Amino acid sequence: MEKIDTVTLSVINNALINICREMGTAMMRTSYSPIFNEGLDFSCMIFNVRGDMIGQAEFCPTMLGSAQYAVTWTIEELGLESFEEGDVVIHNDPYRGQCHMPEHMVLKPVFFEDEIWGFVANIAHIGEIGGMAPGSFAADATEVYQEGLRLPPVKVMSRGKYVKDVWKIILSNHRTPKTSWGDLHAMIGSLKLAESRLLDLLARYGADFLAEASDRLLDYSERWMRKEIRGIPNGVYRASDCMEDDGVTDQPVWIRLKLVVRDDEVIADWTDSDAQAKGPVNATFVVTAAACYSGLLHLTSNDIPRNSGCYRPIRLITKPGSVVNVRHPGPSVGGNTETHPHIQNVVVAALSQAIPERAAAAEGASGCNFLFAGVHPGTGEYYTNYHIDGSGWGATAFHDGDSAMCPENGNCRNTPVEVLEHRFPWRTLEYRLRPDTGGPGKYRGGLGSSRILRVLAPEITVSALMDRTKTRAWGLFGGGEGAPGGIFVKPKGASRFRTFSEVFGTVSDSKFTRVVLKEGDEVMIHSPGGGGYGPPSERPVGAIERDIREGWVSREAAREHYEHYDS
Amino acid sequence: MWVGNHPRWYEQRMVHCDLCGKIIPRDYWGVHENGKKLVFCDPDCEQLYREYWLPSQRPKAPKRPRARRVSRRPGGEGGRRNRRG
Repeated sequence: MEKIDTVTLSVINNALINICREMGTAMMRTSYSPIFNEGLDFSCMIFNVRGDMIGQAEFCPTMLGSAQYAVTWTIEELGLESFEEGDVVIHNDPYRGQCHMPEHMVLKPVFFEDEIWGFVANIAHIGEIGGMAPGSFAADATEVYQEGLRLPPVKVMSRGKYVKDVWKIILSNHRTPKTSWGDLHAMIGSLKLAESRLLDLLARYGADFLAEASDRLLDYSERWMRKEIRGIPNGVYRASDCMEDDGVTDQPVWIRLKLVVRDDEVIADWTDSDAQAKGPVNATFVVTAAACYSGLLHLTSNDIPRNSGCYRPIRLITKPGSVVNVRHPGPSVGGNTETHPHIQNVVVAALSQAIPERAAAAEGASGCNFLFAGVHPGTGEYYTNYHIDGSGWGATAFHDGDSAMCPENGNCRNTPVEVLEHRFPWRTLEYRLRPDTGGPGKYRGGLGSSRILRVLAPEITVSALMDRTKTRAWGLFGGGEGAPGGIFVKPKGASRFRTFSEVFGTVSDSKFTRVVLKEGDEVMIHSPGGGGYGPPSERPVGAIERDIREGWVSREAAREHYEHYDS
Repeated sequence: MWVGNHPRWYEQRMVHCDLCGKIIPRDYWGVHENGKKLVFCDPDCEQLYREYWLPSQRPKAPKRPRARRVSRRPGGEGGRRNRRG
């Protein structure tokens, strides 16, 4: 093999990244559901023939970190020899290397000169896949079978033709098959685009050269990550956090980490974590792995090429049957959206003891998942929707936390009010940042948001799965805690908002399923705030005055938390 | 040694690695030790099991008792839990 110069390697790396970005744009512009085209809850990737991820772009860390497990599982279960040109495999099984049930992967082999060279793939959140709750986010599920249709790796396209029997099974198990049809075709369409771009690259460089370049990129990323880890003092660092309840019982579930930095390797030992929960806050092994990768990537160089190579020095130890490695048939739908950011926060908290200047305080760490379904009075059609709200991010050693952002593990966008109102029978009465929700500090935590929605249809069935409504995002090095979030309801004619437990008797205030609201009822979603960083006494007075002027901090709270502020 | 693991298509048999806990898709790295069968993803997991996990499980010499200190560590247990509503 000829020598590959660094410029060529860089060009190839960027080409792989750009193919993934282009896949994402195609999916955004052709999908049906707001969680795709507004939320961007998907990730696009390229794999070599062994299942190593060699290209990705700025999508969802939870999917990016776990995808290699789903792809290698698919290759092992089906066998490389079973793939033919034009095939597309679908797969969402959390007990076969996937994150949680709504996350569907589609995978297409790429053939060049009659040989399989690699794969293009994407993972995306299909908003409705059947199961016990509309929107397939059953906060009171006790087993995976209640969470929707579970698909092992199976072909939905074979040699370029529909495998109609499989499509019929899938779509007859989804409550909104037309939307699933559209979103799945957006995913498959983006695979075709990526295949075409990858074939252009193969034609330009040749199969062997591109394979060799990909291997070198993987090794380069691994070397860089090892170098970064060597910069962290060797030691044992511990941290923990809890899920406030699991939706089925009202008991907290603890996640405990012993993180060992050993020269150029990190061992994340989670074996002291609680046993798996009855409700769906359990993480699969791959979710925990992705959270570890994401935590480390937040604390190391931004320039490390993101591929499977940089994951190699990060080792995990988990106990099957625990909250960080659910055992079949435990439920896990909330593990990917709620537990994942908690796990990532715990990794960052542990390493804040070693590299405080790079760490961030805890984030709101809740996707504020809000699901709703019903018959639209305008169209007469049944709809479902998966809605997420952003929470406050933790402050860092050099920056206030961002406000009303999807948790770092999701990296999704908030849905605009106009889209929500146009597509679904809600009136948005309020959507704003909540003052005084960011933890005080030299750098202030990001603010949570408040959204009030009024039902405009005869009825809407709602479900929710949130966390940090009783617990708070912690601050670091003297920074204060963020405010908790919550979800509340005000039945038509009532004078104030109350919890769903108070009004409807749900076990959990923040995790419930299938509550039927009537026209005129209102829902208020409060997302949690992020923690502050550094002592509040070191916050510049000018920054406090700006917070007050912008309405982010009240004068009363400023006086309480910032003693040096003289109003 | 590598051990074949090919469950029939109607079986839900799941084999977890004795170190990392991951479900192993197909073939696993099997080791017999003291009459017990250990299952790993690959030799790398076995190596970490011997280098890190086994030594970390050995009983340590008892420490001298110290006064219990209650504090709120970042990302630690013992923080206040606030209930709304």
